[in-house]
Amino acid sequence: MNFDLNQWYEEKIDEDAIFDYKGRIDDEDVTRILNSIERILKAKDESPKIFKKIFNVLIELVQNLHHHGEVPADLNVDYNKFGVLILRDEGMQYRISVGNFIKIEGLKLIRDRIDQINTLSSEETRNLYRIILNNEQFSEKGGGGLGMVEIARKSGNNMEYQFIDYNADYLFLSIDVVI
Amino acid sequence: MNSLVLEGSPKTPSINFNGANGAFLIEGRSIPENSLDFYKPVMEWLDSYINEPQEETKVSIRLEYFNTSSSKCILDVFKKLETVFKRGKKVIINWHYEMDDEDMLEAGEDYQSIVKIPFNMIEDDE
Repeated sequence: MNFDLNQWYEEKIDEDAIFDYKGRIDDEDVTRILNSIERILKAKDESPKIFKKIFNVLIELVQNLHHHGEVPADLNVDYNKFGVLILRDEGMQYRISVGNFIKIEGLKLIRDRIDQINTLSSEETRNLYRIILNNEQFSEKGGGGLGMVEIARKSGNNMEYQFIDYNADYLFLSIDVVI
Repeated sequence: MNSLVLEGSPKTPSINFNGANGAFLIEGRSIPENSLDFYKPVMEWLDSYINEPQEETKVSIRLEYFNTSSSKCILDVFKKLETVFKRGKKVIINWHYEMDDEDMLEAGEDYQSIVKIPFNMIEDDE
């Protein structure tokens, strides 16, 4: 019944996985991850349009991990931003899976936000983006609340998510975005 | 007025705001983790420019990527310039996007819908 992160991660990495990362998500890790994926997609000669969509969504997902990836004490690591990212080429589509730990009290906020965005049409997503862009507010982490909307808008697909019990204080949140 | 020149990096755009002739350029990628830090000196420079603007300010935006935390800062840049425009000076924004990059065109249209400055949408061949 206990969530086994390593097992979860290993199961995601099959022959479709073209990039995977599990660990610290500091500034320099964000840069390295984005550079690596850029090289991989360029080597695959992906169309500029698809490439840009993937890259735009990736930027937001990786920076979300950087801003929100908590570290439960029992991970026994000496850093304080942790996340997981797997990019899969499934033939007709790409799938980006990200995972990070969140404090249990954050569940409702995140779930409501994703649920809300998932119900919107592309036109409504665009309108919501414009409203948030112009609302003058910036979160403490500088994100401004636009990241999730941007992911939905650029991918054109609903986000698939799962909250998995981890311990008394933390949940593991996994999000899949298909492009 | 002096100019503002910031060299680009893999995560931040190059900025070249010429205070003497009103030619402004933002070019490259704007994907820093903390965009407020990066754009702070830009906003401060613009606060001075607003008080002694050129008759014409021509802004070229040639961005390959920008993240959502930069998108608000870019809007703030435009809002500063909107002040100049509302005071009767000529301001124009040339929003460049690569051929077929509909997402970047739409991003320009988002700003166009919010900011009361004339925009030109320019599709570049390369």
